[in-house]
Order: sequence, then C-alpha cells, then structure tokens
Amino acid sequence: MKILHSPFLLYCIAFLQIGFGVFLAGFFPLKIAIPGYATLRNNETEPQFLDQQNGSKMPPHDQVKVKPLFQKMVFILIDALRADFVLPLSGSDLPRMEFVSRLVANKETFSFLARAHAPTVTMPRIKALTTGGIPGFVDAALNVDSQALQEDNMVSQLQRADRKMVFYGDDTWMKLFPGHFMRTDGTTSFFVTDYTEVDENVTRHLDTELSHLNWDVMFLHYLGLDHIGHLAGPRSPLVKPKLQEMDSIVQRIYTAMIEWDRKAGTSTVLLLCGDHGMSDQGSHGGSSSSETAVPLVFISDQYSHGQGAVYDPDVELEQIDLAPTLSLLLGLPVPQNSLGTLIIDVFSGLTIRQKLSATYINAQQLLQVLENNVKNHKQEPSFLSLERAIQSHRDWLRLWHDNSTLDMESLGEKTLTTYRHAMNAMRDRVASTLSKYDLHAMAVGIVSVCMALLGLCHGHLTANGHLSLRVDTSSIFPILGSLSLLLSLHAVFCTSPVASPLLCHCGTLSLTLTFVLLTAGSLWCGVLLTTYSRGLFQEIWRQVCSQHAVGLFLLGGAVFHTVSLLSSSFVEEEHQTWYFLTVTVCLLIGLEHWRRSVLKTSDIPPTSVTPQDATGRQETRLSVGDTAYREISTRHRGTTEERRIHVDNRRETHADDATGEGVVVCLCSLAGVLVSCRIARTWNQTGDKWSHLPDMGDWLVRPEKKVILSMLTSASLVTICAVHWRDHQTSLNRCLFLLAAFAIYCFRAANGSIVLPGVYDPSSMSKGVVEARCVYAVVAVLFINALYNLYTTTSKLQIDQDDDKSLGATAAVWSRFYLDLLLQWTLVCLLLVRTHNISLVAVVALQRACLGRALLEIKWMSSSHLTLLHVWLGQATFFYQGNSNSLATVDLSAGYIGLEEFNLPVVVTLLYVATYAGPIYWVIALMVHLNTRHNQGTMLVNRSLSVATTQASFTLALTRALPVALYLVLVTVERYHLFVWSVFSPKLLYETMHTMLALSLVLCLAVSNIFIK
Amino acid sequence: MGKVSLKSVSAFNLLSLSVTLVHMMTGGYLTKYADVIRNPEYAVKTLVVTIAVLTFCGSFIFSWTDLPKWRASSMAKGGVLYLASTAFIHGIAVLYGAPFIESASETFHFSWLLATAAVLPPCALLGTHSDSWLRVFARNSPEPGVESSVHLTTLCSIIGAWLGAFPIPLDWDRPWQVWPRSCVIGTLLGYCVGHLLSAVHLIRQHRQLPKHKKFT
Repeated sequence: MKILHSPFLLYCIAFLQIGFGVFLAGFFPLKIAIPGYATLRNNETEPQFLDQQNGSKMPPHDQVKVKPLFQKMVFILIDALRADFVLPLSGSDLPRMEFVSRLVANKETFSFLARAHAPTVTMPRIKALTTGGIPGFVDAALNVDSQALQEDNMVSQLQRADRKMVFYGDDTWMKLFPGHFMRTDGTTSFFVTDYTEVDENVTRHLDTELSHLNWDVMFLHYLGLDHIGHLAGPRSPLVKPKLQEMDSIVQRIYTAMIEWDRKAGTSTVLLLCGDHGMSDQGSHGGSSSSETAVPLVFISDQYSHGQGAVYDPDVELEQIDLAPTLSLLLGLPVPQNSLGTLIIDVFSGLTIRQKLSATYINAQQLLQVLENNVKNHKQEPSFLSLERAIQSHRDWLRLWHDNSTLDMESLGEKTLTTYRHAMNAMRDRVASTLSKYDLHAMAVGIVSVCMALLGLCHGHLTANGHLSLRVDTSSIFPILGSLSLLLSLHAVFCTSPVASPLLCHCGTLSLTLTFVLLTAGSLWCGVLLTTYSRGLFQEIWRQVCSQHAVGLFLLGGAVFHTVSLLSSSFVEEEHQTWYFLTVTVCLLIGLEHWRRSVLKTSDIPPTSVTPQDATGRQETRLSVGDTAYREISTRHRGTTEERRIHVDNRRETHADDATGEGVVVCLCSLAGVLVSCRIARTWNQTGDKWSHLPDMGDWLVRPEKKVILSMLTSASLVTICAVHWRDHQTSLNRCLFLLAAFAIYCFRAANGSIVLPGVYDPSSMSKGVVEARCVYAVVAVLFINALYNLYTTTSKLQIDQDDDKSLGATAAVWSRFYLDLLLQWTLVCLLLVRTHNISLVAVVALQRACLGRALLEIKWMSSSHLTLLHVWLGQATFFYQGNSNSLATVDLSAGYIGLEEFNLPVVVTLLYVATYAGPIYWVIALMVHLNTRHNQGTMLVNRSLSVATTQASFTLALTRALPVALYLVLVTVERYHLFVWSVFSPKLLYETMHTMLALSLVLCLAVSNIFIK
Repeated sequence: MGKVSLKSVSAFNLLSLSVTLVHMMTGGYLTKYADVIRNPEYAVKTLVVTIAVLTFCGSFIFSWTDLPKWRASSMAKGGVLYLASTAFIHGIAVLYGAPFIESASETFHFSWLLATAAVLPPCALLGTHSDSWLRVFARNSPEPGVESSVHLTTLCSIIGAWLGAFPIPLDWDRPWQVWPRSCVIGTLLGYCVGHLLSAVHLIRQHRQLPKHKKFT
C-alpha cells in the first residue's frame, strides 16, 4: 500500500504538534505547592535554649506572643502603578500622587520600592501578593482564564481567622477567592477603552463601606490607570487626572481611617501598592525595570507624626515580601509556600524581642519551604547561616533572660540582620529550584519534533512525484521491532530518576500520550527510517546544490534565522532579521531576474578558451558559488535527464516572451515592494534596543493629531478600495466592500480615535459594537458568497489531468476564490488592528499588489521558493504591526471588538487573529499568487496545481518545524540562562502560537488540495 | 588584454590588499581623524583616495595600451556611472533601514566607499563597454586575469558590506556597532578578502596553464 502525501502530511504535523506539546508540558510545569494551610499552633515563636542555672529548656513556658499590630486593613491595589507615580525616583518626570508623596516626605509612612517577578501580568501578580510565592511562567498564558487559588494564601488565612472581608475591583480576585468576601462587586478588566467607569464602579461603594465599618479587611483594585497605560502610555495627559482621582481616594480613606481609629481605639493599616509597573510605552508583561518596579506604601495612624520613615532609594524589596509582612502584621500565620521575608521596619510598634520572634516565625516557615524543595538542605550554605542566626537569637534570649545590662536593642538589630541575610539566601536557593524541568518529557518532545521534521523534509523532497514509502506485510517486522525497542526505552527511562510525571504516570492522559507517541515513533522508525535511511541526507544535499542563487539565499536565510535564535539579542531584535532578509531577497530576485533576461536577450560573445581553461574555470566558478553557470555546464554533460531540463528551459524561454518591457515592469514592481517595506518599518518601532525611538504610530496617536490620523485613515481605506477595485467579481461585492470600509471608519470614529464630524460626537464615546458587527456580517456574507461561487464553478468544470487548459481553468477558479478570501481578510485586518495601523494595512496591500505583478513576470521560482518568500514577508508584517517577542506588545483591546460582554473563546480567537493578521494575510496571498501563475500557464516546473499546493504546504510546515526543532534544543540547553524567563520563554510561547497557526493553515491547504484533485 | 600575465595581476592583488589593510589598521594611529571607528567619515575619505589610487594604478598598468578606454567620452561615462552608483547604493542603504535624515552624511560616506570598492574597479578596469560587464556580472564568466579579479573584489566588497550589518542588533553596546561603522569595516574587509581570493585563484590558474603560455 502506497502512502499518499496528504495523510503523510497530516501524520507529520500531528506528530510535530504532539511532540511540541509534550515539550511544553515538560518545560512549563505547573508549580506543585504544599497542600493545606499553615496554622499558628504548629509554630513555636522563639528558639529554645538551655537555662544555665537549672538546666531546663527555656521558652516554651514564657514564649513571647507576636501581637497583631493592626486589626483592620485597607488594601488599595492600583493596577500598573509605576513606582515613580508615587515615590520620588531620580530621573523621573512623570506626574505623582500629591497627597501620598506628601505623606511619604513627612515621614508619616513606610514606603518602599518593590520588585515584581516576571511575567508582570495581573493574575500572577495577585497570586504572588497573596501567597508570597513566585508563580510559574504559564500563569501569564492562563491570565485570561483564572480559577480558584488552591495554595495557602493570605486571603484564605484571613477567612480562616474569621475576618470579614469586602472586595471591590478587578473580578480576577473573585475568581481566585470564591466565597471569601462578605460583599463584592467585580469589574472586568477587559474593556481597555474604558478607564472611568471601571473605577467609579469601585469608588461608589466607599460611602457605605466607610460608614458601616463591619468589615475587617477591605480590598480595592483599581483598573483605570492600567487601561490608560494600554491606550496612551504613561505620558498621556489622561494619567495626571487619574492619579489625582486615586490620590483623593487615598486621602478620603486615610481621613476616615484616622477618625474611626480614634473613636474605636482600633488600629488600621492602609496599604497602597501596584501589582506591576508600566513600560514607557504603557504596556506590561516583560521584565524591564519600569515594568517590575512597584511602590509599597504602608500608611497608618501608628506611623503618623513622623513615626514613619522617608523613602530610602537604596532599599529594594521583593513584591512577595508583602505576604509574610501583612500576615504577621494582622496576626495570621504566614502562608506556607511563601518565599517572602518580612519587612521588619513596619513593625515599629513591637519590642525588639517581638520583632525577633516575628522574624523567627518567618524563618521557620521559609525553612520548611527549603526542606520541601531542596534535598540535603542541611548542607546548604543558607541553612548554615540560618543556624548561625538562630544561635545568635538564642544567645540574645539568654542575655535577656539574665537581665543583662548590655545594649539589647543594638544586639537584637544585629541578630535581625543575620536573619535577613540567611532568609534572603534561602529564598534565592528555593527560587532557583522552583523552575524544575521535566527533562524526560522535554527530550521526548525534542526527538518527536526532529522526527516530524525529517518526515516533512522527505515529503517535501518527493512532492513532485510519489512518496517512496509503502506499508505492506513485510514492513510489519521493522514496525514491531522498533515498537519493542521504543517500549523498552520507555521502560528504562520510566524507572530511572529522571522519569517524567507526565509520561510515566498511570493516568488516562499519560497512557494516551505514551500510546500515541509510541505508535507514531514506531511507524516512523519502521517505515521511513528503514526504507529511506541512507538516501535522505544525500537527497537533501542534491536538492540544495541544484538551487539558483535566490533559492540558495532563501534556504540559507531560513537556516540563518533558525541559528540566530541562539542569541538573545537576535531573539529580542528578531524583526531586524526579517527586515534585513526580506529586503535582501527582493533585491536578489530583481538581480537574478535581470541576469536571466540579459542572458536570454543579449548574445554575449563567449571568450575563446581552450578546453583546459574551461575546466579550470568551471571549478572556480563552482567555488564562487554561482549556479547559473553550473546549469549551463551541466547541460553539456549530456545525460538524458539533463537534456530534458535543457529542453524545459528552452521551452520556458520560448513560452515567455521576455521582452525588455516585462523586465522593467518587474523591476519597478520589486522596487515598489522595497519602498513599501521601508515605509512599513517606520510605522511601529519594536524589539528592545530601539523600541523607545519615536515612530509614525506614536506620532499619529497623539490627541492633537486626531485630524491628521482621520485623514490618513480615510486615505488608506480609499487606497485599499482602489488597489482592489478590479479584483472584485461583481459590483455587488464591490458595494459590500465599500460598505464595510465605511463601517470600519465609523467604528473608529465611534471609538473616539478619529473624527467624523456631524455623525459622531467626539465627547460621547461608545464601543462601536454595531459598526463592528456590521463589518463581521459583511465579511460573512462575502465569504459565503465566495464559497458558493467556488462550489458552483468547480462542479461545472470537467477536469482532465493531462489537459493544460482544464488545469488552467481550475487554477483560475481557485485563484478567484483566494483573491476573494484575501479581500475579506483585508477587511478583518482593517477592523482588528490599531487605528494608526490601518495605513499599514494599506501599505501592505500595495506591497502585495506590487509583488503579485512582479511574480507574473518571474517564472523561475518554484512554489517552495514562493512559499518561503511569502512566509518571510508575513513575518516582517507581523513585526510591522508592532508585535515583538515580548508579551507586552500584544494588543489586548483587539479581543473585544464587536463584543458586548466577555466571552472567552471569542476573545482568544480575536486576539490570536489580530496578532497574526500579517502572516495569515501573506499565506492567503501566497495561494493567490500560486494559482494565478497556473492560471496564466506560466508554471512549467510544477505542472500540476495540486503538486504545487502540496509542495507549498510541506514548505510551510517545514518553515515552522525547522526553527521549532532547533529552538527546543536551544531552550533546553539554556534553561539556566539569565534570560530564560524574560527572553527565551516568551519567545517559546510565540513560537507555540505561530506553529499552531501555521499548522492549522497547512491543514486547510491539505483539505483544499483534496478538492482540487 | 590577453597580454596581461596572471602573475602580475596576482601581484597587483596582493599589493592592493596589503596597502588597504595597512591603511585601515594604522590610519587611527597616524592621525586620530583617520580612525574608522571614532571618525568614520574622515577615515572613509582617506580610504576612498587610497582605493581609487590603487584602482587607477591598476588600470594604468594593465590597460594603458587599450586606447578606446582612455577616450574622454568613455571616461566621462565611467565617472557618471560611479557617481550614479553612489546615489544608488545610498538608496539601497535607506531601503535596508538606514535613517533617512539623521545620519544621511554617514550613510553617504558608506555608499561612497562601497561604490569605490565595488563599482570603481569595474569602471576603471573593464572600461564602459557593455559586453565585458555583462560577461562578468550577468553571466558570471569572467576571463581569468583582470576580469576575474574585478569580479571577485566587487562581489566580496558587497557581501562584506552586507555581512557588516549583522552585528548591529547585538546588545554589546560597542562603538563599532553603530551604523555605518560595522558596514564600513565589512566593506573594507570584503574588499581585502576579494583581492586575496583573486590572488590565490590567479596563482592556481597560472599553475594550470600549459608551459608555453606562461610567459606570454
């Protein structure tokens, strides 16, 4: 039984995807926490020491109790509150919260700069604040879908201590802590364009809460500032009024708090903090200094009248230090997975002995975490220094017990410092082990991806003819043999210490995965390896050698990009690689085309040379790497096959009348492509090194440039309509397209980002749901219409495989369909991208039109080359849009276009599609171009359209498999690199997303290919 | 042209290589203005002079008998081609992402250098007759000797300039990574490598020649 291309392709991409999935599961393990909750009872509060007089162990009988300093707490969390919005940091010119800054300056607070861990996204940060742990990286990916927090945390501890809590703000809290709050009102953080109502919905509850006071802890989570950041950045004129609003809220609570404390004699602490910072562009998610620096301000009556301290710029804390500090301030046990070390300064109301005792409790809890995470923890240097700290604590207690006359305060301070060093060392030690990798699963993943890669290579090489693979009775033995081999390997690894909990577990998932992987692997070994083991690499090499200059460059460029991922700078600046490669390949195509046309038209007198000269020269030319000459020289070798190529070339020469005019048109179109590349790259600066430079996008979104932006947007929409004017099939389509374009303009105007005088009042903004849905409806109608047209025309066609004409007709039908699809996709892009990027879509559409014109002339590029070219242009467009390899640049607002309320699958799809609008656009463009070429009868290298499509889909899958295979190896090698969480992991997530997208597109192509046949 | 012996071209290659290399390396020590990294614009000016002098020397040595080449019209054509190519390379550099306004002067100096290294030699050594240009650059089949030497230096200079852009995005923050310094260095190194390859290639060709031809 022969294996066909389509099932083989499906096998390969499924194998690739599963392998990738297994790797990811091994690389991003969900953190396993100690279950259960800490209690006060199981902790002693002071170390025991031997009383020298009567030999009895001292404490426990007179253990000091750490008394809770505060009975009530107000926890104000302002999303994306940068440290310099509150604290006087040097070199910052941003507005500050006046009232809070005054308190800080007057020593009425304890204020600190705290560092948040990456990823700086809301949900992981809330987890960190309440549990004191460092959440895993995947929490960022799961940010939109939060589930109840299972780990021990401060909020659950408060509930267990019967404290009454109220919460107002981001509804993530309510999902994380269901049933914990007495009264709540959630606001959703997903309508980024709304920055007033979200906060008013929180503030309106203050009146009742401040008068009732039947709660112990009040949590407030304000989202408006974050939304302003996403919309306009930290320098926006909207920031200052927002900070003033927040400031007035703090002032109001502070005044009320002092009053009720005086009346009731209680003590309340007000904590103001941010969950993460805000980059200079206004986003967050990465690990730059401005994103990770957040303020922590403790305000209380206890600290007023100069009892606090001014902000000390030399002290930097960790954000996770808040959890143990608050727990101990409120008299609760420290959450048992917390890695924080308490901030001793804010315990100013305690005696030195109580301070030591609090630190001791925290140290004991950290020691437990260390015990659970590190084998042989007794040999750890951090453990030894903790021993020293406890010893010094003992000594201190003994002196205290003996009523020593020494300066107990300063001795105690010294002990505290010893404790702090030991605890920080313990925290760092545990943090380094928390990223535990499942090496077994990672290795299995890498091997599967590599196997899929080789399979794809094989499929690609044989796309012209038949897969030389067959399955029959004789292949049972190799398959069974490899199966038993793999099974025994599996058994060996699963009984070894590196056994993966994912693959060696006895659950359904684990067993299914193992089964699928074993089947796929043994099929691969048994069929592909045995029938094709020797020939594959030679075949690859032979194919590489027979490429022309552009083909070689496309191959080399793909390999270069793959290898460049080894360097973190090249990952951060990946857009530079793509910009550089696309420009070069366009130039090379122009050069090669010019060269070919010159060789055809002009008759260059060959120099008279002796045969010996000729051989010598041939060698040198081979060494120079020129290929055209090789083609010429091989022609003269005279085997039949080469003669056939020769004849083909001749036919090609005659088939296209390579006129000088055609060459000029082609070169001019390529120049157009290049110029549009240059314009597009100025639109959004991205990456890391130069992202701060001003770009067109920054300039256009300034509020005072609204009119210019409106004019540019309308001009772009007109341009797009003009470019595609002749591509529409019927005038009905044309009208619908115009309608959609107008609706897009209206949508933007309703949003308030551009103006449409007379229709939309700039003072009243709406979400533009109606307009957006109108566009969706038009696109849907157009799509159904295109499908219907495709169906009716293909059913009419009589297909004869040998007839060029009928093939041309098929190609014509499909190229029409893809062109329609391209138009619809353009509309979707126009709707989903940021307003200033509408012009970018126009530039890309022009670029596409230019390239399409040039490709009509260029007949010497195979469909694989075309696929690579389009994939590169798609990658470049991905970065033109302003995307980067940092999670911070994802435009969250795109997920809510045309939505009234939050709907997870829709939001995720829209976000995904909006981020990858460019690559998808170019894949559709590729199909348009491929089919148009067949339609024009210009493809003589690949005669059949379905062969071309097969080749294109294998190439597309390969463009993902190659970088993924290498990148997985790289990430495994670099897993302890400094940048692994800030650079390599976000890139891995992007690679995952991109691969899933590309493979689903390949799937679509494979399905459409079935219909072509 | 046939009278030029391969050996002499090879020797000329080695001479050009060493002069350019020495100039590039020691320029910064002689005067601080000629340092490629600290003062690229001035250094480029001096290097352009060196390369141009070398090229014209070569042109004079190898083709002083080739009369049509020394006609005024032909020389003017070459000059125009050279100037136009400078502008063209400037345009390409901008397409590659060189800032349009801010560092226009730096970009221009780089283009000038690249034009001198890659376009001036064919202008001066091949003449302006289209046949030899097409043979060398379109068909990629230059005659061993001056043509192959020009072919290699041009190709290598361009490739060198292209490769010179690679270190720019790296986060090492070195002064030589700033545009266009790394590309200037790349061009020069490419030019030198071209001469070296050409010298080696010509010597090998010379060895393969039949004996009676070696001394013509």
